[in-house]
Amino acid sequence: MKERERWNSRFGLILAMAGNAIGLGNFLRFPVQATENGGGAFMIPYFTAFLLMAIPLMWVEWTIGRHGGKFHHGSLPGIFDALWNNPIAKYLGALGLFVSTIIFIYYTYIESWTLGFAFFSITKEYFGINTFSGMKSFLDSYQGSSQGYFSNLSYAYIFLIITISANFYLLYKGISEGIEKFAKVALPLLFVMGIALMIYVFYIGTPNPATPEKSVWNGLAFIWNPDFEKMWDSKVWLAAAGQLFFTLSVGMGTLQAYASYLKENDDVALSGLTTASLNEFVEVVIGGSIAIPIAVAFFGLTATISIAHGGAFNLGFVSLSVIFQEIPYGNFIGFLWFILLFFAGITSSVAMAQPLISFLKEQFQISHKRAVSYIGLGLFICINFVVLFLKHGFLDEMDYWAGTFALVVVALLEVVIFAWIYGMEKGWKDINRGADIKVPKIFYYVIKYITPLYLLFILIFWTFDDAIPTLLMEGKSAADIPYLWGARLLMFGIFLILTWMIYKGWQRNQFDYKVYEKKGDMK
Amino acid sequence: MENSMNASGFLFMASAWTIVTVMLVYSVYKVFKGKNKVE
Repeated sequence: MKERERWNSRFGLILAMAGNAIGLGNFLRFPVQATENGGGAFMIPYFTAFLLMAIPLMWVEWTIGRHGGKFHHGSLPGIFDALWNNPIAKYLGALGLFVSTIIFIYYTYIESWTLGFAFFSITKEYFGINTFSGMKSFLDSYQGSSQGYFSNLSYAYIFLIITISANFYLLYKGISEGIEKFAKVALPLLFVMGIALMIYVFYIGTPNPATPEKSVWNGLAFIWNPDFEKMWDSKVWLAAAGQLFFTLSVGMGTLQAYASYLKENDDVALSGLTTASLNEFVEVVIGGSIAIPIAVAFFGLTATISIAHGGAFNLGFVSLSVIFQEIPYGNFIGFLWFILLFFAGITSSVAMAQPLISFLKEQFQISHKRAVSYIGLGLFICINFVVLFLKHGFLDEMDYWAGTFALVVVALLEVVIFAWIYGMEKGWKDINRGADIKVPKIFYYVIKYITPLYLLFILIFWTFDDAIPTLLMEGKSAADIPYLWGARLLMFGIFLILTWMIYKGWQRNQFDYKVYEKKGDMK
Repeated sequence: MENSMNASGFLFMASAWTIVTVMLVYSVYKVFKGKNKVE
């Protein structure tokens, strides 16, 4: 068997992993979640979930990824199979492959909006549309949800094709020559652009002295003034855990895929912590200091509350585009903002394709280029459903089941398999093998007992609170229901195909892990 | 809801920023102090 690709440097690996984790959620979702869930007091459940759930999951995912890589497995079916000697293990892993594949399909489309809006900012395409409703209509017509500024989806398709091409160029080049090299440029740039934007927002301060209540400082107050009453609401604790899931990209199979390109004795403890730290800094410091503060400075608190309730896209695409028209060099600042989001998006989306690429290469022995081409073709077919039926909730349906609910299921499966089936004794040794920091022993017990219970609690609560009403399509319009069933059919079809491929893949390759263990790292 | 930032708001912001910054500086320092190559 051919030797696997490897990361060129540890720094490149950490930047690629951080790029995977840092996404649109850091800049758009976090500030909205904080304002709606107790402001500064939100940080108490947030950091609690970070310590008891997110960091343990981060270490587990890096460790099982590296373990799977030892047996040439870079996707969850193979990784679970390597951890648990049971025929069912690989089929449980199908869910991990399903999650990253489905998210890749719709996330690429969202990412293309950021590229489109970067172009519209620098060319001042939307300048002159200076009301919230006008910009909303601009965005809706761009997405084909309503008639307005754009008469058809041609612009949406142009930027989508450019985005897909950029993604597949990087994927085609591979791990070290494509993803790692790009992350080494994109992540530092993202940092610099984020800090520059943050400083610019602070510099704006109070844009109109006649209305001193509309200021960046009051925007920060809106995010950070604590509302301790909310601490007694279990939904706030779940929202904090949910935010950490999205922001750190756990439960997707992508961290494991990247970690599978490590060697057996490479550090995972410090690298995992560094990845999480980079992500948290971008989220808590930079992400919390741009969108909401600037919105309060221009629209005031009441309007910003209503914008935030309208969701992250209203905040990021609509309200900020109105503001860019009112500030000096607004077209350039707007370009900077949307390119920042594009970089955050593309470094995440390339990671989402990686588990499927690994799976095709390793289970079917096809070349890297051929695997990437097959996935590109499949993506282009599937993404059309998302583009054409967006207004009927097609994307939201996929996002709920694959991008929200299934993440927790995958995370729970992997932590149970790791701590209780593979065994915490072996697992703890694995986490600490080659480690550059000493992981405190308390995490042995956290991973074994607390993290699974935390995840189980989230899963039970979400099942009754969200999943059952969503499954029954409560509150959905009759016109949208056929499209929602279409989204479910597409997801079910993809899941069945993946499961069938796992079956066929294992027929072709019967793994004898004991033989590999004796040989050591496979060459 | 208060419009301007109160003392608790400032305390929460300062603490959260400090925690994530210290975490970042510590981990990046350890990475650079350690071996850079993945070997």
